[in-house]
Amino acid sequence: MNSYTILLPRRKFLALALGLLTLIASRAGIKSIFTTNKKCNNKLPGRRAMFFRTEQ
Amino acid sequence: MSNATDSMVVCELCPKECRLAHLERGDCGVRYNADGELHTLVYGKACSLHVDPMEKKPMFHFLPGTPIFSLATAGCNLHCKFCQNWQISQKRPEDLDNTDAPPQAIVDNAASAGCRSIAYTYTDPVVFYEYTYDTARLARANGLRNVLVTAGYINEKPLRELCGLIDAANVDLKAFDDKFYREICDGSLTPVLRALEVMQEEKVFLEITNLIIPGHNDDMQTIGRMCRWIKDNLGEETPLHFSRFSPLYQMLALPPTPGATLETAARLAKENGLKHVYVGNIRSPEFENTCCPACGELLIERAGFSVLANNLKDGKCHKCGRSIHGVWS
Repeated sequence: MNSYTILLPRRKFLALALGLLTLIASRAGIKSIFTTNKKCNNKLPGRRAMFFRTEQ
Repeated sequence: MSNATDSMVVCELCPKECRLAHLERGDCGVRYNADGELHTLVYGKACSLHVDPMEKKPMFHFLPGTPIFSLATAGCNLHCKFCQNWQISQKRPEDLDNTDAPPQAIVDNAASAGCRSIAYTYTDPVVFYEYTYDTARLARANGLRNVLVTAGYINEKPLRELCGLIDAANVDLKAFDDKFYREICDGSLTPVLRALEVMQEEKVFLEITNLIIPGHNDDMQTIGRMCRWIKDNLGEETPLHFSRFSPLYQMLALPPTPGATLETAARLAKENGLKHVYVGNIRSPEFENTCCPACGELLIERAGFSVLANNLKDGKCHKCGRSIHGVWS
């Protein structure tokens, strides 16, 4: 047989689809009460803080 | 010649007063020296957002039976080996899945969820001070109340500035023992006691929680001293919650606190003159209801975090008319 087509077995495909759906549902559920559901950027620099002093 | 990156920054928010070189982070993991300025990495970046019952904070004498919008970011300035929220408190912000939630979004969501108040909780609002401050100011302008749930490990100046926006606080007094604070929590007792006094002076409504850990802070003589300190410095009406420890984080080898230990501590607190003493994280019919200290009438009946009945009349006992310390409406 000369075929390069990759076909997922039906059971594996179903398991993968179910896993993806569960992931999407759980993510949506966790943040469901919140309207600004946007992944935030944790990179520097952040915001200027209060209560500090500088020393040389 | 020096430039900004040579400058050391000293954070003056909490008693640790971390001295930071350029790009170095404080002990809390969320504040750092950015070119000679202190910056926070968690402003508007919530790691937890929930609507909780007020009783879960625990606040038993503040708007009982109402939902409270609860907010946290990553990080903490203490490192308690028994931390019940260590998955978020002992992590850096980049280790967690955060949500962009500016103060206006918090206030809008709290209102639309039917909450009359916002709790700054789960980790410690001390380390997300600026976020708490701005949200609390906006919340108050929109008619919402603000509740801190904190270990109270904060310097006096920032605390006084924040207190003007805070209606109530539950302070976790972890033990009445400086050695416990140093060895188990990486902190110290004196600043916590001072923070409690400051909150009292600033008219923040206070409740106190003491988590009892078997073999570490369950000595009844020390608990008795703690109760007398609370009575003498904060007043006999201050609600006190003894809370059950569950083995978590770095204290997995210990057993949960026996119910009998919690009830013994609660009876001791009453013998020492405290009027409102509760037991938490465990069912205790004797110590989960609010009764009138004068006539003993059952005023607020609870089951866990649920309020089953509230028989207060304008903040007073419906039977004898004694005023009950709290914020009831």
